[in-house]
Amino acid sequence: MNITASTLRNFLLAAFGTSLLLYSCQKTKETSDEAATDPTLDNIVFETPNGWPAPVYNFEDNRLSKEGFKLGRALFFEPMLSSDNTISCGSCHQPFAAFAQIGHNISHGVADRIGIRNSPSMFNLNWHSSFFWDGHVNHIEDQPLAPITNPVEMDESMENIIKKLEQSEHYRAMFKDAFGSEEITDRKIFKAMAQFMGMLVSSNAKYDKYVRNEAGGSFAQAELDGLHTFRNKCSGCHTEPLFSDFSLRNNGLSLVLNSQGTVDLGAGSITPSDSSRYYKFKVPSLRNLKFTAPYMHDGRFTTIDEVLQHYSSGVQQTHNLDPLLTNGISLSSKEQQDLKAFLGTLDDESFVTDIRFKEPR
Amino acid sequence: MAIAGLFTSCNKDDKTLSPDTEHQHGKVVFNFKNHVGEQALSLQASGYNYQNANGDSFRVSAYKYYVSNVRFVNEMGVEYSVPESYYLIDQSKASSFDRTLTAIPAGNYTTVKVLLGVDSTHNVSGAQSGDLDPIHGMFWTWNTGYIMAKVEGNFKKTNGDDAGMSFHLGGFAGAYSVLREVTISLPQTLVVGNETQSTVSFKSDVLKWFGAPHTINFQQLNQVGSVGIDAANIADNYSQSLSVTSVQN
Repeated sequence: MNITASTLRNFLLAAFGTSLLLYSCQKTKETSDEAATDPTLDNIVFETPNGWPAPVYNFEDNRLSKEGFKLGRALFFEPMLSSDNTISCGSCHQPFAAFAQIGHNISHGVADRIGIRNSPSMFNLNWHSSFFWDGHVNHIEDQPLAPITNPVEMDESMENIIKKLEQSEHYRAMFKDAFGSEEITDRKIFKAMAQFMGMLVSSNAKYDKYVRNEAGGSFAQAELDGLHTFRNKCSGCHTEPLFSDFSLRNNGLSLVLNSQGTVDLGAGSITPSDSSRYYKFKVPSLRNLKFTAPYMHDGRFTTIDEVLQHYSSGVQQTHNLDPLLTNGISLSSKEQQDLKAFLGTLDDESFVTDIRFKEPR
Repeated sequence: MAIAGLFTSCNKDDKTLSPDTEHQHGKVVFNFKNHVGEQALSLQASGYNYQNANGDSFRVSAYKYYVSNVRFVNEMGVEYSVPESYYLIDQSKASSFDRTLTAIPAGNYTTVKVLLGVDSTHNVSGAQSGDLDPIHGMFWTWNTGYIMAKVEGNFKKTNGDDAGMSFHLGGFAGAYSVLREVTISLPQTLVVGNETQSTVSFKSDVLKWFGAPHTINFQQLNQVGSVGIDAANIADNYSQSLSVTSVQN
């Protein structure tokens, strides 16, 4: 066959032209994705706010990158992680609710199943020494497995999730960008998710500006009085600046039957033969309460007023009641109002509106 | 000359009105009252003050619903669409019961149309502010959209125990969409003139959620929180819950 120069030229042009076309299409898509994300992701770095203790988890074994974060975010909001492809982590951990779920004491999983515990808020997780209300997981990279495999939550297996993700060219490409190859493993899924979850830092509430002596941090009298009362009466468990020491304690809640018809043993449900851990739950942070009602492990209190009434007059003398609560916490009505004012200074609007943490559309 | 004629009639097709400052316009206040059958709705934390069609005794602890995409239809059949009309009525917030709709073109309106819920476009895009702010607890995720309406409370089980009931209606597309268009003939003509203020009073009846065409038996179904046939069935019932009790000009 005689290939003329012009034929060769036309062939090369067609081939090259096609690949140019493909390249420009792809580039457009990438550009529109980029446009939707926060440019600060480019120099993604996890920072410990000034004056805070060292974090428990610091990405030493999980190199933080923009691609890893974006993959983790995509997975966090991905309903394919549930058996019927309807429930994502973000279904019960909503960014605008400081990653709790607004208006739900107990959340629903697939097929409207419900569990027994309130969806906890998520922020400052790298400082947590354990996860879940009963503290049964102590490493952030192990945490997602529990809700994923829980039949009343996402009811799925890692094996099925990997199969589903492998079918998506988009996900294979994201795994390649994040970890260097298209191979999808559960370990990579958890590391990517830990990159997203670990970056959820809330440290710009009015209280933080007050502590840092910044603009916007000037407290009103009630807030100052509330801070004073707080330090006298609450900081034994709700230690600054994280507003929790993340220990497991029984705070004297009345023993009620849950949706399974049993009383929640808390940490004691992990080792039911050892009653020394019965009714102990992880001390939650008091940051962002404005966005995270209802409160307690079963969402029984809809308002902060109810919580304060519990501590001042409702503490039950149950087994393992925390020694700090033997006589409840006496709070006058002025102290309660001041505390509410102070707790309002822990609400971080910048955290719940941070575009890096929003559900991608 | 012919071209000028073309432009003066732009965006004025025969069947719709636009907000137009050349015309006279007035205000219409929508007042919402929530009921359970003939009784006014009252939220309570204990006891049972209501009974559904199935005979289940119940009480209500929360009642919230969206009414959106308001259209007024005048006596000529011409529709006026109120721009960005999204109202979240919340029984626990009396301030949500009265909504003032402004810049309504003058005219005699015989029908009002609303969407019960949030339209599908706004479930996947648009500003989430005001009544559409997810802080109100009426939004799931961008994937599953808004909770168009919810009722929560407790009922008495046949064995006498107290149990919770919670019906969250969501789903904005496909076979199980819970979105329902409602067209209501006004009991008297709504007359809007220059800078007038009229009131249209609505009744939203919780009992209608559980009556017909699908009679709900709390003993068998007391929880709906996802997109599916149960939500769609209740939405069929719910679509009949809104009526206009009076018009005051």
